[in-house]
Amino acid sequence: MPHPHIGTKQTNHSSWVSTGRHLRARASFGGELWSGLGWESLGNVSESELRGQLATLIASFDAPVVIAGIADPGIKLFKLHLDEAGTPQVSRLSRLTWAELRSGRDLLDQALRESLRGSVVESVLVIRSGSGREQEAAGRVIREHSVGAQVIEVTGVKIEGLLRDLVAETPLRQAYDLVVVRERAHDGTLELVGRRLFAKGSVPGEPADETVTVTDPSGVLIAISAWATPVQPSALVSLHHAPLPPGRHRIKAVLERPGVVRFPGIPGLRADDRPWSEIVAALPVRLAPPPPPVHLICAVEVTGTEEEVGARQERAGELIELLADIHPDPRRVEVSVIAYGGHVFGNRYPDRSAPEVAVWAASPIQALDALRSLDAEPSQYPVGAQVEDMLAEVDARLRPGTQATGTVLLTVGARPPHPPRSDTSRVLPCPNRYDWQQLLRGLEQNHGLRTGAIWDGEPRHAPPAWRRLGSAALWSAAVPADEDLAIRLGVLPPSSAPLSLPLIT
Amino acid sequence: MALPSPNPTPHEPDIAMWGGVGSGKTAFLASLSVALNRAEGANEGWRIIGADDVSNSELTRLRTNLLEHRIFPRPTDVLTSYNWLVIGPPTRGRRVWWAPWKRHPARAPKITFSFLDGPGGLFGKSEYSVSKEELIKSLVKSRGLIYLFDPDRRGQISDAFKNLDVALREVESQMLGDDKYLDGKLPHYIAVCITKYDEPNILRLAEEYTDHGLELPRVPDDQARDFFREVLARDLDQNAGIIMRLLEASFHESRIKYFVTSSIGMYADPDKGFDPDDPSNIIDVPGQDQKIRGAVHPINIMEPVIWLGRMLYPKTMGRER
Ligand SMILES: Nc1nc2c(ncn2[C@@H]2O[C@H](COP(=O)(O)OP(=O)(O)OP(=O)(O)O)[C@@H](O)[C@H]2O)c(=O)[nH]1
Ligand SMILES: [Mg+2]
Repeated sequence: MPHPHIGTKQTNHSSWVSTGRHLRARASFGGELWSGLGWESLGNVSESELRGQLATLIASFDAPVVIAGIADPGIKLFKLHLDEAGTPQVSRLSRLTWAELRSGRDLLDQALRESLRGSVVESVLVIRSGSGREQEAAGRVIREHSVGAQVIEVTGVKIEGLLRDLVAETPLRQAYDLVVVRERAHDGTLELVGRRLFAKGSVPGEPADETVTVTDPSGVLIAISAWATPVQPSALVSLHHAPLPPGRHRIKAVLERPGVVRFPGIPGLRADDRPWSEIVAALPVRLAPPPPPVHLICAVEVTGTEEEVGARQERAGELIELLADIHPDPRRVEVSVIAYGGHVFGNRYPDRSAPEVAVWAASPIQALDALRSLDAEPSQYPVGAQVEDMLAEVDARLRPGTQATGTVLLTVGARPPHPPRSDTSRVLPCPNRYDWQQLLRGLEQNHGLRTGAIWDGEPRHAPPAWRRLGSAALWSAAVPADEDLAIRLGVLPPSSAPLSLPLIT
Repeated sequence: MALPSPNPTPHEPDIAMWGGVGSGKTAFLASLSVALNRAEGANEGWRIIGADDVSNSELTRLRTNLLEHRIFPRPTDVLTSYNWLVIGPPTRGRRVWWAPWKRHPARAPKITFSFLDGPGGLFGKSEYSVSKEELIKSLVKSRGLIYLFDPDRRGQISDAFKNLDVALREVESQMLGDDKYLDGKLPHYIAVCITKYDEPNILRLAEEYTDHGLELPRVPDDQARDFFREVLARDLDQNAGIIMRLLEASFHESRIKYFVTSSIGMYADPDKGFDPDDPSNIIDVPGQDQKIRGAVHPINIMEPVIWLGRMLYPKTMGRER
């Protein structure tokens, strides 16, 4: 049904076509236009009628429309257009008061020329809310520039506010999706897909939600894309960074207005202005394999000066904290702390000293407490320590079948183990005759144990025993334990490119 | 063959001792004081006491250091003489033909052992010439010698050789100048002691000469010479082999006896006893004094002394070899 007020002219060149209730701006504008519907033919409309007309226009236009608002104070020129993401936008091009126009008619000419310049597709709509000589003269000037301009007369309307309100209220012309990642079933590679949040036609205020998995400890990017057609994505509507911890999250969204989606309930959300292409380029091809459960056994030598033992505690503590902080699944982290000292020789009574298990398979927090409570002991026999007794203790405590857990032994100390029997080292043999090399081999074979060591001195000067204890990683007690150490020990998965986008399964 | 008798004059030192720096001379004396008082079996009943106050207090000091402080003696820097009285178990009284109703009372052998312990470096250094002369004098005058050889000092064997060579030449030039010893050999009995047998690497080296049937391993006397030869052969230094030839050229073969000795012995766990996997009786920490780990078990320490005693006083002590 043709619209009664905004006229229709179905020629190739026509500017307005009314299809049912939808006003559409379409074809090019120019040539011999505007026959049949003259300036005068457009009558007065009520404010609500104007609203309806404009809402229809905003919901359906394709090509930019210039709207001239002629009112009592002067003339304002607006442009209604679709941005890159296809969202209707209204922007004011110029504002001229009658006083300014009186001083020179050129001003209006110039403004109109600029507004219409460079494009043949603009249509012009004049909304005249004031009547008077000047207003009518302005209308004529506009018609000189754009013969096809249509004029609507209305009284008492603030045209700018009205346009802005209507643009914000207009239903979505495109579906809005949350950009997520999923694994392709056949090969596990990742692909980008959209999860529909708002269908085409959704109106502001509408809520939506989507449950996703966050995998990157540094948070997740919430990207909204508009899809003009089911197969053709348009540009990005918005991009935010949400500092959500890894895990599953229900992301709640509210359509604020076309082009703006709000995410209530995510503290720390901020807009991210990185180019989308950069984000896509940084995505991993596949998901990192889930980190296996970890059992980190920190065996700390407590003989030495306060400073020496303090540094050892600190290093081990740093590693445990690191694990607690950035292991993707802290619930799968177990930590044990064993304190070991030296054997005692030259006493008339037998040596009863033994390593002490401060905590076994505890949480990182409990382990840190236990670690802090260790006290330094003076060394009675400073050329050897009970490494072998410690290994025997670990061997006795690891149950068969712990292979599945990534068991890592981190020995932190200075002194070499006692040999099982007298050798050229002049270090007295272990009174229990434990063979540290044999124990290590057994632990590695039966429990898949990985071994790392933090040695008091510089690793390149470390004696063979400490190199062996640090097969996977040999670190200096003078250097803070960092992610690199954790990765080399295998307690953290090797850093692959983090997945910054939400994952769906 | 009748050998010329060693000088029998009573108050001269019976036994002189020498060896290279750190070869274990002073430790030997300290251990001797322990060993004699603990002797069992064939050597049971022997005691050692100081023959004068100074010697007595020295004896106590050596013993206390070894047993209580569990440390080795400091390196000796002055020539020290120890006059000790070694008292053996009493022999049964004998009847004599002219008075068969009378029994001579039982008599314990008493031997004055005068040891001269000097710094091992004496022979290499001119500044010790006074002490050196004194030591030479004691070697000349004594009738028994204890020569200590440290098998653990690899690379220092040439020092040991020099030490021995110089000492023997000096002694020989003083003793063999006149016609007293016609066969051109020194008249002494000499106990050659290969020391520090307890050291794990020496124990290993001695493995095939070792008798394991005892509480602590030991190289039997009849294996000692072969072991000594093995120790010397281990050293690439040409002088090493000469040491033995030098000794055997200077002394009568029948007056040389080899002993494989240890002043402290091996470690024996109070409950489990000796374990060949853990033999070391020394706590050795770089930068600190060595400490003795467990009980001191002198090995072949009094044997050379008693052997010398028997050789020098066959009547009182019974002749046994
Ligand atoms: N293992 C072991 N070491 C010994 C033994 N006797 C001595 N030693 C070591 O050898 C070092 C020197 O021993 P001393 O008895 O002082 O030797 P010395 O020949 O008197 O030395 P100087 O007086 O310096 O000529 C000692 O400090 C010990 O380290 C022994 O029986 N066994
Ligand atoms: Mg000495």
